Amino acid sequence: MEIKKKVDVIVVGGGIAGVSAAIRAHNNGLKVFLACKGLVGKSGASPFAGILGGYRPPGGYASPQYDWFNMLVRQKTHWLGDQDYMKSLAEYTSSQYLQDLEDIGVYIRRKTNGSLLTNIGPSLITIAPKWGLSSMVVMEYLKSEMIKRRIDFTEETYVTSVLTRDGQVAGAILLNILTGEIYSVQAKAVFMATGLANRLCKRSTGTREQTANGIAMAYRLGIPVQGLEMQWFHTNDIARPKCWQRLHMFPNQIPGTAEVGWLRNSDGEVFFTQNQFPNCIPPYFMQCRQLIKEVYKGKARKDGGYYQDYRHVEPDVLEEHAYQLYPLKKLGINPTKQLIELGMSWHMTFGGIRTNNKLETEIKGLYAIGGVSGTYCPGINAAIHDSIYIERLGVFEDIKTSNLLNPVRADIDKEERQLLKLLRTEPRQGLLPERIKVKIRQIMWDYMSYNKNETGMVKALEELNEVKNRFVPQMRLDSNTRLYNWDWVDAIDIEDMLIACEISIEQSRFRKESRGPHYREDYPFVDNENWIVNVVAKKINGDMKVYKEPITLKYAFPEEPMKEDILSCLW
Amino acid sequence: MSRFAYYPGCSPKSSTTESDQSMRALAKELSMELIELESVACCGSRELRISNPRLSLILNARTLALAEKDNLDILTICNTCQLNLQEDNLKLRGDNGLLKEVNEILSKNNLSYRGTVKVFHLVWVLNHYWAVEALKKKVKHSLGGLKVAPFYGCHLLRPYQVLKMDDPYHPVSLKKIFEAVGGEYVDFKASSKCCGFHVLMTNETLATRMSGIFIKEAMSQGAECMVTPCPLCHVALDAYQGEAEKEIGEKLNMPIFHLQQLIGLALGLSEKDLGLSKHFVSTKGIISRIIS
Amino acid sequence: METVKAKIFRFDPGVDERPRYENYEVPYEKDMRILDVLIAIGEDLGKGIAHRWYCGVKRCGACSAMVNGKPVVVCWEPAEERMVIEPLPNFPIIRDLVIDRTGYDKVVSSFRKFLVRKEKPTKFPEDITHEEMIHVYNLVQCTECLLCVSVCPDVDIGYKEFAGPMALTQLAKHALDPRDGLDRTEEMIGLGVHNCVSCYACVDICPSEINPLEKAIYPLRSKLLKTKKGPEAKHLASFEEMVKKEGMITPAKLFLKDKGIAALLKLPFALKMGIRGKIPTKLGAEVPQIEEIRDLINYSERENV
Repeated sequence: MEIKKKVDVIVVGGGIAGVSAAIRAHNNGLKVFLACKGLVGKSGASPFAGILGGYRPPGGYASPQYDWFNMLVRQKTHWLGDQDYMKSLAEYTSSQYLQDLEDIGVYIRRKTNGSLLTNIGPSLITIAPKWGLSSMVVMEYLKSEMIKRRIDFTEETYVTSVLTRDGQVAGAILLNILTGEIYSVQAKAVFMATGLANRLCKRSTGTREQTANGIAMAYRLGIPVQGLEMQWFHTNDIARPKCWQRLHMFPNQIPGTAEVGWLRNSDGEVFFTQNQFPNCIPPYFMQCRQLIKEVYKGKARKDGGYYQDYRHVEPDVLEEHAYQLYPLKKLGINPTKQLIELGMSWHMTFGGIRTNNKLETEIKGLYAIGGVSGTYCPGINAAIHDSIYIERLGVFEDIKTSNLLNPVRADIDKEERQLLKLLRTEPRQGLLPERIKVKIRQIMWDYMSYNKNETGMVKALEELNEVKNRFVPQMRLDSNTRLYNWDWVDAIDIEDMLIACEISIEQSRFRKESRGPHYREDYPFVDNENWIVNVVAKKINGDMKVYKEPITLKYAFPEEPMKEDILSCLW
Repeated sequence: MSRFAYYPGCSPKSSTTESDQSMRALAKELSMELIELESVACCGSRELRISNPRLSLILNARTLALAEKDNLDILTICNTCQLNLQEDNLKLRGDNGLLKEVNEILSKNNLSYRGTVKVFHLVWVLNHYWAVEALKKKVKHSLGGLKVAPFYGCHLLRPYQVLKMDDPYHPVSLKKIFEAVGGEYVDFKASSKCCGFHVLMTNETLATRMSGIFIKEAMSQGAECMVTPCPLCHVALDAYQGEAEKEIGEKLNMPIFHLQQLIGLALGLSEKDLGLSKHFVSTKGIISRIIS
Repeated sequence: METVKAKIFRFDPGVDERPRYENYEVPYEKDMRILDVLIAIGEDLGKGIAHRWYCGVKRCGACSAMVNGKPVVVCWEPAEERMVIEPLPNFPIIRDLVIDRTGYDKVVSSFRKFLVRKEKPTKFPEDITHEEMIHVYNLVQCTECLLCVSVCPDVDIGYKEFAGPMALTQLAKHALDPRDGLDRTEEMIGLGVHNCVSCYACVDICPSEINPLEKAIYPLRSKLLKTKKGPEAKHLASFEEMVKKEGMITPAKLFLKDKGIAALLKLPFALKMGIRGKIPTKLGAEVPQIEEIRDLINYSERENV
C-alpha cells in the first residue's frame, strides 16, 4: 500500500469543527488534507443544528443567568466542563462568533428595518436564514472558504485508523468508499473532528455514516474517553417516517415572536413549554425529564404518543421561517391545525476524547476538536471556537516544529489485512452487517434510552456480548466488490459501535448519580459533593478500565451539595 | 363557452399564419366565436421576462383588462402566450398591492383590471369544455389509426404549480383528442421535452440539435406525423427541420401539424382553409391518407 | 397497501456484463419513504444494494434516483406500491444506484464557487436589508440534489456548453449577492447561461422549490445584459426595443435586427419562408393604438425612476 500524500495535518471529519480547523491551519501556513466519511457540510450534525445562539444585544444579556459562562457551567455541562475552556468559549460566543459567521457570508436573517430577526427574549436566537436551516448554510460558506483557499479535501473517504510511532502521530489509513482503494497518508498531526451525532440507537439523529469512529480510534490507541454517560436525547424528533427520525421540531422561541411549541401527552395535556420554565436554556434536558414522567404515567411512549403543538402560532410566521416544518406538507399534516407526533432520539454525545487544555491527547500530534472531544459543551460555536483556541495556544506552531515520522510498516499492513478480512461473503448463514447494526441499536434503545438502571445496563452488556461473540464472527457481506460497498463500511463500523456502546454503558453504570442528560432511575439524585468528576474509560492491557478523573473548579462553584431528584430540576 | 377574446400572439400573424387560419376555420366549425383583441402588445415571450419583467407584467395586465372590458375570457393558441398571461393573471389576482399599483398605470389608458378573466389555451378548451363525444360525432374523415406523436411544448404543461392542467411527466391531454378523431397516440419520452425555440435566434445549433434528437425519438416509436399545439414549436420542428437534419446528420421527413389542422382535417375542413400548403415538410402524404 | 414491490436496477461494472433488474418485496409502514424501502431491503432482506444516502431528510442531496421514470429525492417521496428504481440518467454509474458525480464537480470548479466580499464589514450586524439578500435567502436552500440536471433537456442531449441549472444556481448564489465584489461576467458566459431553453423542467422538479429558472438563471441573464456582453445581449435589447416601438414582435424583422449582415447567410431559408407567406410584406407593423401603448410604457418607466 502506497503512502499517497505527505502533509502537516490530516483533518478527520468535514463538519464545522473540521473545516474550520483546516482553514485556520492553512492560514497558518500548514499543509492540510481533510477527509470526510460522508459529504462535507452535509453529514453528521451539520445539516441539523438549525438555530444560532449567542446573540448578545448591545445592552448586554437580559439577566446574569443568560450569561454564556454561567449557562455553560451550570446547565450545559452541569459542573463538569473545564472552566478555563468554558471561559474562552463563552467569551468567543458572546463577542466574535456571530460576526465571524457573517464575515464569511452567512446571511443572518434581518427584519424589514434591517435589524437582526430574533425571538422576543430573554435568551436570543438568530437564524441563518431560516429556522432549522442555519448550520447547513454555515457549512456552505465554510466549505466555500476551503475551496477558495484550494485546500485539499476528499469526501466519502473513511479514515479507519491513525498511525503512530513512539507515542506520536505518523499518519492515517484511509478507505476510498467509491473505489474501495485503501491508502495511507503521512502527517505530523491529526485533528480528530468526527463529531458527536452517532447512530448507536434505534432512533438517532446522526446521519448514515456516524458510528463513533473518532472515539473508537482514540480508544484503540489507548487514549482515555470520558463522559459518554452524558448522552443527550432529543424529545422533539418526528415519529415517522423512519428516515425522518432526525427531523427536529424545535422547542425554542420562534423567530419574531415570544411563542414556543407545546408538548402534549396522549391525553392532550400540555407537559412542557420552554416559556413555562424560563430558566431552562437550553430546554432539552428539561424536556426529557418532563417526558419521562409522562412515560411513567403511561401518557406517552418514548417512540410516540406525544405531540408538538404549534397551532397557536401565526401560520405566516411558520410558513416563512420554519424550514423544518416544510416536510410535514408531504405527510398531509398542517402544523397550524394539527398536532405532530414525536419520538425520542439519541442525539449528541457530550463527552468524548479526553484531552489536555490544548485539546491534545496523550498521543503527540493527535488533537480532538469539536464535538468528538470530551468538553461536555459542543455546538456550532464550540466547533468554530476550538480552532481559534488552539491557534491562540500555539498548536499550529507546535506542529510546524515537530517532525514528520515514518509510519510503522507493520501497522499499515495489519490494518489493511484487517480491513480486507471483512470483505468476505462467507459464511452464507452469517448476517449482513446492516442487520447486526439493527441489533446493536435495538439493544441501546431498549436499555440506554435516557432512563437507565443497573439491571437494564447489565442486560445491555450481555446482549452486546452476544452480538460480539455470536453474530460478528459470522458476519458476511452480500458482495465482495470494492465499488461503493457500503456493507463493507458497515462491517468496519461495527467494532467502533460496540466500543462506544460499551463505554457508554460502563460509564453510566459507574456514575452512581444523575447529572445533566445522564439520568439513572436507581440513582436519581445529583451529588455535587462526590460526583463532580470525569468518568473515564481507557484500554489498559487489552481491558476496559473505568475510573474517575478529578475536576478542579476554578471560577464558579455549585451552591447546593445535593439535589434529591433530578426530575425535579427546573432547568 | 363559445365566445372568446382571441389573442393569437406574434407568430400566428407572421411566421405561422396557417396556425391562425386553421384556428379560425376550426372555430367556425365548432361554433366558437373569436373576437380578436386588436390593440394588444407582446406577451413577453422569454426575452422581455428577462430584460424587463415589470414591463411585461404591465402589458399583459393591459391585455387582460381589454378582455375584461368586453366581459370575455381569453383564448390563445400559443403555449408561451398562455403561460405568460396566466402567470401574470395569477400574480395580479394574488397580490392586492401589486394590482393597485398596476391599475394606477393602466389608468393612463383608461383601463383597470379587476381580476376576473380566465386564460385558456385551445387544448384546455377542447379537453375540459368540449366533450370528446361531441368532437367524435363531427368526424367526417377518421384518421384511421394514423400514428400521431404529440409534441406538447413545455409551456403548455409547466410550471405545473402555475398551470395545473396536466401531469408534465405523463401528460394525457392530447391523447383523448387524437383518439376522438381516430388517431393512434404514440407515446414517447420526449413528448413533453423542449423544441429549443426560445434559443433559436441566439443558438441555432443547440435548438436544432434538440428538436432533431426529439423528432428522431418520435420516429423510433413509429410516429408517422407529429402534432403540436404551439406555433413556436411548429417553427422549430417544421420550418427548421432541414437545419435539424443537417445538425444531427439524419433525414427526418416528419410532417408536423398544428393541433387545429389535424382536428380540422378529421372534421372535413379543406386543405386550403387549414393552410396546409404552408409547411416546410410536406403533409400531402398524410392528408391523402386521411381524405381517402 | 400491505407490501411494497420494488424492481431495482443492479449493476456492478467490475463484475457484470450488463445491468439487470431484481425484484424485492418489503412490508409497508405508514408514511414510508422510498429510502425506507431501500434500507429495509438491506436490514430486513439482507440484500446489499449500493445506494447513497446520508441525512434522510432532503438536506444532503445525495440520495436522488429515478423512480417510475421520474427523478426524485428518495428520502422525500412516499413509497408507492410498485416501483421501478433506477439510477439518475446521464451520469456514469459506479454501482447499482450510485452515480459518479465528478462530472458535475468539474463544472462547479470552473467558476469561483465562493463569496469574495467587496469589503469586510466594519460592524456587526452589517448594514444589509432582507430585500437585498432575497436571492441568497432563496438560493442557499439548494442541496445540489441533481434532480434539475436530470430533467434539463440541454443535459439530456449532451450539450456541453450549458452548465445546467444546478451549477447556475450555485453561481447565482454568489453573483446575485450584493456583498460579492467579483466581476462574474466571464463566468456567466462561460457557464452558458444564455443556453437555457426556458422549459421550466427544473422549476417543476426542484424539491426545495427554488425555481432555478426564474430566480437564478433569469436574474443572471438580466445582470449579464446590463454589461452588454455575451451572445444574447443584442437579441434581448432588440426584442425590448421592438416591443416598445411597435407593441408586437415581427419575428423576421427581429431576426434581421439581430443578425444584421449575417442574415444574408440565411437567405435561402428566408426565401422558403417568404414563398410560404411567412414573412409579412410590411416588416414591422405597429399594433393599432400604438400611441396608447407607448404612453403606458413611458408612464410606467417614469414611475420607476
